Amino acid sequence: MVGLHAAASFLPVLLFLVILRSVDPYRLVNLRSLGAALVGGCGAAVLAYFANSGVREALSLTDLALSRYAGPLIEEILKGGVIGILLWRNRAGFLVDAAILGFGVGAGFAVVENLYLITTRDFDLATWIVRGFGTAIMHGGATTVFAILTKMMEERKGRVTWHGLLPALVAAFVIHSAYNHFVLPPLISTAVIALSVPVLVGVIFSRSEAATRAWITDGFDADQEVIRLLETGVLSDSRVGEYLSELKARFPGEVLVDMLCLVRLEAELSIRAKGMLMMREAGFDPKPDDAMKARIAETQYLEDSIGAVGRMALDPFLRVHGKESWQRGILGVS
Amino acid sequence: MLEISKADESTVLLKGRMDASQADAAHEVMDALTGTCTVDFAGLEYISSAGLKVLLATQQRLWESGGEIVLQGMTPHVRMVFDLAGFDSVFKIS
Repeated sequence: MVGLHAAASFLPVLLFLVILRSVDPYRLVNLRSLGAALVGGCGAAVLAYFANSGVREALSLTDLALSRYAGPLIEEILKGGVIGILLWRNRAGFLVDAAILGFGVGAGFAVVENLYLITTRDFDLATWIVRGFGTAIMHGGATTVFAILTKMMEERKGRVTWHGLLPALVAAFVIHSAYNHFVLPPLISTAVIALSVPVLVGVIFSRSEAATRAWITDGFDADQEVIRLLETGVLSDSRVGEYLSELKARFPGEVLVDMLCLVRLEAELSIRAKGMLMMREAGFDPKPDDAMKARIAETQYLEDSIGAVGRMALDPFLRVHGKESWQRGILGVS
Repeated sequence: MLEISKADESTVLLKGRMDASQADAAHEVMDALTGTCTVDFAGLEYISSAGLKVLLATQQRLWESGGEIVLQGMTPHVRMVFDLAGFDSVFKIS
C-alpha cells in the first residue's frame, strides 16, 4: 500500500516534468541543469521545513495561518531563490527552459515534501492522489510561473535583480495561497490545477518556440556573415570594421588582433550552438564536441588579453551576458 | 535566386542563393528525393539557416528509410559553415 501511495504522490509531477522536457524540440534544458533544479527544489523543501517550524513558533501561528499565508510565502521565496540562482548562472535562454527549470524546482520540492509526509502520516489513497496531482503539480506550476515572469523581466531589463523578482514572487504566492485556502473541494481543486498547469505551459511553449526559432535563424545567418566578412577581408567596409578601425587609436595593435580573434571565435561558437539546436529540431542527436572546449578556453584567454576596457568596447558586437553566454551550455562544455 | 535542377534521378544541382525566400521551392524538390542522393553545391553561392533546415529535414527523412544525402562541390566558405555548425556529423561530404 505504501508503494501505491508513493506512486500516487510522486509519479504525476515527475512524469509531467519528463513530458515537459521531451516535448521541447530543441531540448534546451540539459540533464545537468534539470538535476540542479530538482536538487535545488529538494534543498528548498528541507529549508522550508525548518523555516516554517521556526516562524510558527516565533509568531505563535495557527496551522491555518501557516498553511494559507506564512508557509506559501516562505516556500515560494525559497523555490524562487533557486530559480534566481539558475537564471543568474545563465541556465535558461528562453521562456521554455525557464518554465522547465521552474517546474523542476517545484517537482523537487514536492517530492521531498511528500516523502516526509509518507514517512510521518497515514493518509488514505484519495489524499495521496490529491497531493500527487494537486499539491505537487501546484508546487511545480507556481514555480513555473515564477520562473517565466522572472525570465520575462530579465529579457526586458537585461539582468536578474532581486527587487525585480517581487512581481513573480507575488504571483507564485497568490497561486500557492489560493490553493491552500481550499475554496473548492480538494478533488475539484486538484482537477483545476492538473488541467490549468499544462494549458499554461502549452501557451508558453508555443510562444517561446517561435522566439527560439527566430533567434536561431537570424543569429545563424548574422554569425555566418561575420565569418564571411572576416574570411574575405572586406570587414573594414562593414559596420563592425568601421567600428574596429575607430578602436585603432585607443588600443595597441596586438590587442586589436585579439579583439578580431574574439569576434571570430564567438561567431564560430555561436554557429555551432545554433547548428546543434537546428539538428535537434530536425530529430538528430548531436553529441558535444571536445574541440569546443579548446575554443572556449581560447575565448577566455582572449578576454583576459584584451582586458575589461577592451571587452566593454566590443560589447556592441559581443553580447556574451545573456543568450550568447547561455548558448555555451548548449555546447555541453559549461 | 536559386536554380534547382536534376542531373539525373539521384543528383540535384543547386545554383545561386538558398535562403528563406527559396526554402519552399527547395523543400518541394527535396521532398521528392528517395534513397541515396547527391546534392551538388558547385553553383551555390550562399546558404542560409532556412536552406540548411531543408537539408537537415531531408536527411532525417532519408535516414529513416535507409537512404541519405551526399553533398559535393561545396565552396570553401560553405564547407567551413558546415564544419563550424557540426553538420559534417550528419552529412557525408565529398
